[in-house]
Amino acid sequence: MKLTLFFSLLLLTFTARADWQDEAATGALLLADDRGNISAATLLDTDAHITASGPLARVTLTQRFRNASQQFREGRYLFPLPENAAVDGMVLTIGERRIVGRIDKKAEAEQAYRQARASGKKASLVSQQRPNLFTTAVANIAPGETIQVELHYQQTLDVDGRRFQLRLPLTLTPRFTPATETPHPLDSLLRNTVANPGGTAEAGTASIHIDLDAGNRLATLGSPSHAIHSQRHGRRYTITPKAGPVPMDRDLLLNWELEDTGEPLATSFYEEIDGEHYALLMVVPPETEQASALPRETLFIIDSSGSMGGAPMRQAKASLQLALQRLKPGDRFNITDFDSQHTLLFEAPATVNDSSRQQAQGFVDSLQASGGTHMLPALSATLSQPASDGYLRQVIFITDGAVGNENGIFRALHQQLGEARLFTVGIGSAPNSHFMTRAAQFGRGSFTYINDQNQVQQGMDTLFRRLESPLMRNLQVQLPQGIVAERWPQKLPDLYAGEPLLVAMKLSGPTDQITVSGYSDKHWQQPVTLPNNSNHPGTASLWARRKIADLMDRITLGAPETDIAPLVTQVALRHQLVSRYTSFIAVEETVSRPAHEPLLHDTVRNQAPHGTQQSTAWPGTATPAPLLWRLAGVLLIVTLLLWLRQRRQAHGAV
Amino acid sequence: MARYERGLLVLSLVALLGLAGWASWLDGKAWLAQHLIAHAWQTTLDQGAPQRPWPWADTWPVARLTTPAGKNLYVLESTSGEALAFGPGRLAGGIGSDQALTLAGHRDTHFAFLETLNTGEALTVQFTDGSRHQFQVAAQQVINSQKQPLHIPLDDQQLLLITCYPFDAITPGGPLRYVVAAHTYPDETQRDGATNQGHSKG
Repeated sequence: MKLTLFFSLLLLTFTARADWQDEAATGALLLADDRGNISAATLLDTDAHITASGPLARVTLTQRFRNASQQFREGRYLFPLPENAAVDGMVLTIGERRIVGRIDKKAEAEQAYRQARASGKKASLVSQQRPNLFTTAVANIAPGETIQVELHYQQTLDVDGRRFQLRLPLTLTPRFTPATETPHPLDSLLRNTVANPGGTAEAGTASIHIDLDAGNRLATLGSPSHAIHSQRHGRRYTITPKAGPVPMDRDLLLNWELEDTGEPLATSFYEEIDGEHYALLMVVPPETEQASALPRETLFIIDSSGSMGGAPMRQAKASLQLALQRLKPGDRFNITDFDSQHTLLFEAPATVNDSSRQQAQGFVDSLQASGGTHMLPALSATLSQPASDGYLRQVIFITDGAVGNENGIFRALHQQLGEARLFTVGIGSAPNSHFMTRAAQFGRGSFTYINDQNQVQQGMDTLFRRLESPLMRNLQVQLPQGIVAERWPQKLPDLYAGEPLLVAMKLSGPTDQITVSGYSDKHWQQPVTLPNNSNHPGTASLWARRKIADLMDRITLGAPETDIAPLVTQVALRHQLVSRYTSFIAVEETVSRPAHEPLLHDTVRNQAPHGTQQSTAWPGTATPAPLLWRLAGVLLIVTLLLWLRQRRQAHGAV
Repeated sequence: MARYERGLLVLSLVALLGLAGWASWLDGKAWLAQHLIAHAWQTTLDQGAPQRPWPWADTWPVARLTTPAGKNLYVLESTSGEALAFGPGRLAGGIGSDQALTLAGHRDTHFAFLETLNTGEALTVQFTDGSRHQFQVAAQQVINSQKQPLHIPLDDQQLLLITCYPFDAITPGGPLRYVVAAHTYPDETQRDGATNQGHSKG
């Protein structure tokens, strides 16, 4: 009986942590009305034109839909952008007419959409639903009419050393969001409805055309998902699928690898917009097997508060144990464990040897999740340990991110981190992964996300590969006399194996020559020629996105949003970016719906496949109390029966 | 023989008391904690800073939810199992967020009232800055959480309440969730009449 109880308690824990991303993509585009009924498949075809410049890609995606029903409909289309992508343009075409969407302040865009919808005009709105999910609402589609949505977005690509990967999401699956049935003025804007999972509908085919300028000569170029055909013109390549239009049953993946010369490679991309000069500098580290000679001091901070209870604590402990095994003899380390209080393993960072490692393993084994999350004192205590001269200090912070005072922690990092690098490891469903990413960026480190016991090994391997191989420090960018740049990041991180460094710059004037320098075991310097005779679309937009991210961080740091919002709006409007304060709107000029005909809602929804998005886990929302009460009830009867039986026997005996 | 049976009786009595004790502890904790949190909430409103209901708590009240029956529930920051034992938890949304305010609670304690909550009924939420927002229940739905991932809409005019389903299930940990969606009233002028306009859907 006890076993049953524990089993159900375990179930409770597991349901709360279940992972929803493992569902296979169905390859269907669904069209549903407000009640979640599938009515028709309206995606006719998809056309993608991609220009890839080094680590950036600009994508023009055109999708055509048809209202196959007998009524006027309103469609809603969710587009699963790949990670690190942002929409910066949209064109809506209805029949023969063409409407160019404009970017507007968010409130004004929504108002314009509402007005258009109420007066029977067609309108389409793209708004930042979540970082990588965009909504397009299309109002007033006449029966049998075809609507074309053309979306322009840009993304920074997945990079591993000299290898780059471009992903074009072409697979579709449904995903739940709560529905509402009562009409509401904002109904059609940002609210989602339910699509019936498992419903099948036809999906059209996709035509794909890719132009690639990787920045240097390529060692390899290929696609693991599709057979491709490629043609080279100097530094540029043209790529198309061999089969022509491809079915929308899998994402398109394109991989390429830059030639390795054994030296860091610095290359650049350039874009001029209205007389403003934008440059993107990319420094690609060489492939290396040897670990860096720089001695390191690794400070671990592990969160063992109550919210880490269960699977997260097991994952955190396993991660830390793996990390301890990877420490090199002669380096230094220490561990800070915190919940309501904090404990340092050693008074000061200790040298890595068998006995200190054993002591640390025992310390980690004995950690138990309980108590509150008082992160700030633990962070201060860790960072205020005396620095060991000549050691590169790296702080590794393992937590579920359930902190209340983000701003306080950010400020403490500003004041106390100094030259140290901060790497954050997020455990569990990590509601604060945004904060942890930004903290790692500020600390010139990286953020590793571990959501599952199976990801511990891989996640920590990747992290340690970075930690162990800092290839170059003190990176500097020198501009010619008289030229200044507003550049992101302002603080240049170290160059780590496997991670190209990107610097986005807005230059005060035209120039064709910049110099990059750094220090590994000796001084390194390389001149870079700006390719200002060719245009790399997306360069300016990347700069603008970095600037907006920096401005948004200032809000986190305590700057009043009323001061920052106009600055963000200005950059976003200038560079056609969707942000917290801006969205796109496209409105048709003429009325197409007879006023007496009702408007029904269609929902067209799709989803990025496994791994590109993070959805929220459902919380466990029941206690075992009802079960316990029932078991107690059964036991009460048993007890009474036993008691009666004994009484009867006792009487019988007398 | 009698000794054996007496032993069995004692064992069964001990197990009975143990189970009943455990169950009362779960229910009692849920009830008692809300009273302690009510105090912390008042302090939060007075001082304008998050206030832990007891010194070692890993969470703090972030909102007050008032049911149509006028019962107050104090919403805690976090939806960890630990926090949900004490009160409904905030999963997303709230002050400074673009997302729908999303709250989760236990079906057998704090969110048991969802079972009888009808479309059109009004819920009130008060935030730590003292502001009050009225929401009207728009829809209820049963979701299989293993089939459909939770996706919180980017719409701060919406309130979502999540609890386990069915309400009378015996064992915890089932895959079904009951989701109630509510909206703010379109604008201030409609607020007064809105409760009368609401239609019940059973």
